[in-house]
Amino acid sequence: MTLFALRRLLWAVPVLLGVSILVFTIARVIPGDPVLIATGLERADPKILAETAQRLGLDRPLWVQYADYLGDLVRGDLGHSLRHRRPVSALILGRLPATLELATAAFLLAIAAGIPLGVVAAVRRGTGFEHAAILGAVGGMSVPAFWLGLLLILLFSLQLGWLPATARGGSLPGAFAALLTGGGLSPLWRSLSHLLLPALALAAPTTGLMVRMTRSSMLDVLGEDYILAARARGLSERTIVYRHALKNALVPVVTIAGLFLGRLLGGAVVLETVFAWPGIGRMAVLAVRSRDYAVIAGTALMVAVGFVVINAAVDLVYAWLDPRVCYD
Amino acid sequence: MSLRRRSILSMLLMVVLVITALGAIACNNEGETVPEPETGGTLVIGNNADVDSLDPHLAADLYTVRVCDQIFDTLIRLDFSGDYVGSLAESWDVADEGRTWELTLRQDVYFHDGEPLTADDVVHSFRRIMDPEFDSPRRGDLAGVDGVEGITGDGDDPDRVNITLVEPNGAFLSTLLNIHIVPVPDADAREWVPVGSGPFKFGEWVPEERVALERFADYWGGASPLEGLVFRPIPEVSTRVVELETGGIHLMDEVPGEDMERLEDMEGIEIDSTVGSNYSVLGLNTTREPFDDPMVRQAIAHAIDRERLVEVVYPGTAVAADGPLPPSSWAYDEDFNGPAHDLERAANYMENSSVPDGFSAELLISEGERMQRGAILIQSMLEEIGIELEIVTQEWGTFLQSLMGREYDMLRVAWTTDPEPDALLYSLLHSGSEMLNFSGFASEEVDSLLDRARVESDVSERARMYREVQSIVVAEAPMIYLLHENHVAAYPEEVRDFRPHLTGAYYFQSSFGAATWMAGD
Repeated sequence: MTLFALRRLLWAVPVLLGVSILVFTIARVIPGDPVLIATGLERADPKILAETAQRLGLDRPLWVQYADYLGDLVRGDLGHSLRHRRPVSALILGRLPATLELATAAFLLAIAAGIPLGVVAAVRRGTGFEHAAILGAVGGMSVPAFWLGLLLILLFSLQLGWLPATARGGSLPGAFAALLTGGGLSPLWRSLSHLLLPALALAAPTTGLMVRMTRSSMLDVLGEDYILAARARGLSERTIVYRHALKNALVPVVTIAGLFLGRLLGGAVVLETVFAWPGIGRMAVLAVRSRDYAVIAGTALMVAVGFVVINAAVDLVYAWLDPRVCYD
Repeated sequence: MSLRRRSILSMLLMVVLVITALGAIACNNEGETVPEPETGGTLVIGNNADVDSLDPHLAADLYTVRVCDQIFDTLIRLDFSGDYVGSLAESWDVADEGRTWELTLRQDVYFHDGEPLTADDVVHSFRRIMDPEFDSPRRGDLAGVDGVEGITGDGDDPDRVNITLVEPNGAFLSTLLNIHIVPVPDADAREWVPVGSGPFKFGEWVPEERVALERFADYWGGASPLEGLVFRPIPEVSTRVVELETGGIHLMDEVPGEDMERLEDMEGIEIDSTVGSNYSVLGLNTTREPFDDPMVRQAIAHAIDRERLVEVVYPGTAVAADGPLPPSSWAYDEDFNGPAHDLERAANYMENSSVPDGFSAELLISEGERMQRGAILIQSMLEEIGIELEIVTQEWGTFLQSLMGREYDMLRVAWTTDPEPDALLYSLLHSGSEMLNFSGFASEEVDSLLDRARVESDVSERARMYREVQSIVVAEAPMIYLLHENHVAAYPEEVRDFRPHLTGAYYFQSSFGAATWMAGD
C-alpha cells in the first residue's frame, strides 16, 4: 500500500512537468505584452517598456526563461506576480481556502443530492419519479453553470431577496470556530448565506452526473445474480438495496466523484467571476487578462496537483469498497 | 399676569424665535430644507476590480488609483469643473521660462501616523517614482523631470519644492495630478505600509474581497462625515447592478446603457453623470491602402452618424464628439463642428477616391457588449457607401498588440486621460510618438503646433494651438472622433452630496465641494 502510494507520487512528477511546460508555453505564445498591459495604453513609453522587459528577463529566449522557471520551481518558488508584485505562492495560499470551501460545499451538495436521487430512481424504475430525476439530471448537466448562477441571483437575491447576491461572507471554518467560542450564529449564517448560491450553481452539473451514474450503476448491480439470490433468500428489499447493492454500485460513482472534485476546483473559475468569489479561479482569469505569467502557471499547477492528489486518493478508496482491488 | 407666568411666556417666545431662526438658517433661498450632514455610516463602493497594490506609486489602473486617492494626497487636483486646485501644494509659480516649477506646501498636513508632511516627503516621493529599480508604472510621467529640490521653511515660512524640467512644459501640472505623496520611510522599517495624509486611513485589505478604510480625524481638509469606506471588487457589471439594487453596495459607476432606464425608474436610486475627459475613435490605418487616401477617410467620416451611435448604444451615457477635445477640457471649442452625417457627400468622396467601387476591410474591436453593438452599427453605416466590414474581436492584451503594431485596417478604441489637451492629443497624433500614433498620421504642421503648445505657458495661446490641431485632424481624418463617454454613477438616495468626477476618480472629502455623507433612516 505504501509502495503504491509512493509510486503514484512518482507518477505525478512527469504529469506536473508536462503541465508546467504546456502552461508556460501557451501563456507566452498568446499575443499580448504583460508590461504594456500593466502600464496601460495611455502610459506606454517604448524606452521604459523595453527596460522593464529586460529587467524582468522577458527578452530572453523562451527555453532560457523556462529553465529559470523550472529551477525556481524545484526550490519551491512559484515566481513573482507582475501585477501584484508579490510571491505567487502567497497569492495562491491567500485565495485557496475560498476556492476549497466553494468546491467542497458543491461536492458535498452533489453527493448529498445525487446519490440518494440516483438510488431512488433505480429502485423506482419506470415511475414518474425516475423520469423526473433523469430530466432534472440532464438539465443540470446541460445548463451552463454561469447562466444558472445568474438565474439563481435573479431569483433568490433580486426577486425574493432571501440571499446575498455575491461575495464571500467570511470563512466557513472561521464561522464554526466563532460558534464554538460563543460568537453566536450570525457569522455562520452570513458565511452560509453567501456560500449557498455559488455552491448550488457549481454543484448542478456534478449532481446531474451523480444521479445518472448512481442510477445506471445501481440498475446493473440490481440485475446481478447475487441480488437474485438474496431475494430468493427472502431478504427485505431494504436490506438488499442498502446492504448488498449500494456498496458495489458506488465503485464507479466514487471514481467519477473523485475526478469531479478536481473538476470542481477548476470549474469554479467562471463561477468565481460571476459571484465575485475571492478564490484562485478568479485570480487565474485576471492573470490571463493581464498576462501575469507566473500566476497563470502557478494556478494551473495548483489545479493539476489537486487532480493528481485526488486521483491517488480515489485509487486508495477503491480498496475499501472493492476487496478485489489490490495494489501489487 | 404674575411675574412667574410672564417669564415662562417670554422663555417660550425665545424658544420659538430660536427655532424659527435655526429653521431659516437651514433653508436655502428657494425655501427648500438643506439637511445638515450627518456623521457616521460606512459607504460601500462596488469597484470594477480589486486593487493591484495599495502603494500609489505602483498603481496604474483607475480602480487602484481611486482607492489610493483616499489614503494619499497629490500636490494638486482637478476640481469638478476641470480646473487645477491646490491640494498639498497651496500655490505654485513658474520660473525660468517654464523650466522650473516652485510649489509652496501647506503647513497643516499630517500623515496618518501623526508625522507632519514636509518637503522631504515630496522629494522622496518623486525620487521613488523616478528610480528605475523601483519600476513604477508612473516613471514615464516624470521622464521630463531633471531634478527635485526641497526647501525647508524657516519658522513660519512654509516648505517649498522646486522641480526643474529638462525642457519647458506648459502641461506639467497635469503630470502632478498623478503623483501621490508618501512619507520618507523610517530607516528601520521592514515592510512598506500604506500611510498617507489623505482623508481616510488604511484599515484592512482582504484580497479580492474588500479594502476597508477608516476616517482620518486630523485630515487637513476637515474630517469626513463618513466613518469609513469599503471598496468591494465586483468585476461583472450585471452583478454590480444587482448588488446596488439589493443594498450590497452604495455606489457604482460605469452604469451600462441597458440598465440606465431601469435604474432611473427605480425608487430610491439616484443617477448622476458628468462628461468624462476621453474620446472614443474609429482609427484608420493610414499606412495601409485605401486608408492612405484622404478621400476615403473623408467618405467614412461623413458616412458615420455619431448621434445615432450614441442614441442606440450609449443612451444617456455619452455625447457625440465633434473632435478630440471633450467639453470637460479647458481647450474645448463649443463653436467647432465635426463632420456632418451626409451620405451624399460621403458617396461623392468615395466616387472621387482611389476605390470608387467600394472595398472590404476588417474592423478590429476589443471585447465588450457595447463595442460589439457599436461595431455592428458602424458596419451597417459604412455599407451604405460600399464599404464591407468584417468585425474582428480580440481580447484586450491581444488588441493592444495589434494596435501598437498597426496590424489592422480600422479599429475602435477609447483614449482616457485628464482634460489636459497635451495628454489628449500628443501621443496619438505626433509623428515622433511611434508607439501610440497607431493611425500612422504624420503632419509637420500638427507636430509643430503640438511641440509649441507644450512649451507655451500662456493658456489662451495654447488653447488656440490645440484648437487648430483639432481642425486639422478632423479634416484629415486619420481617426474619426465618435463620442465622449460620461462617468455615470448610481447610488441610493441616502448617499448625499456625491458628485461623479470627470476623471472617474472618487472625491468624498476634498478641499473643494461638499463632503459626501450618509443619511440615516
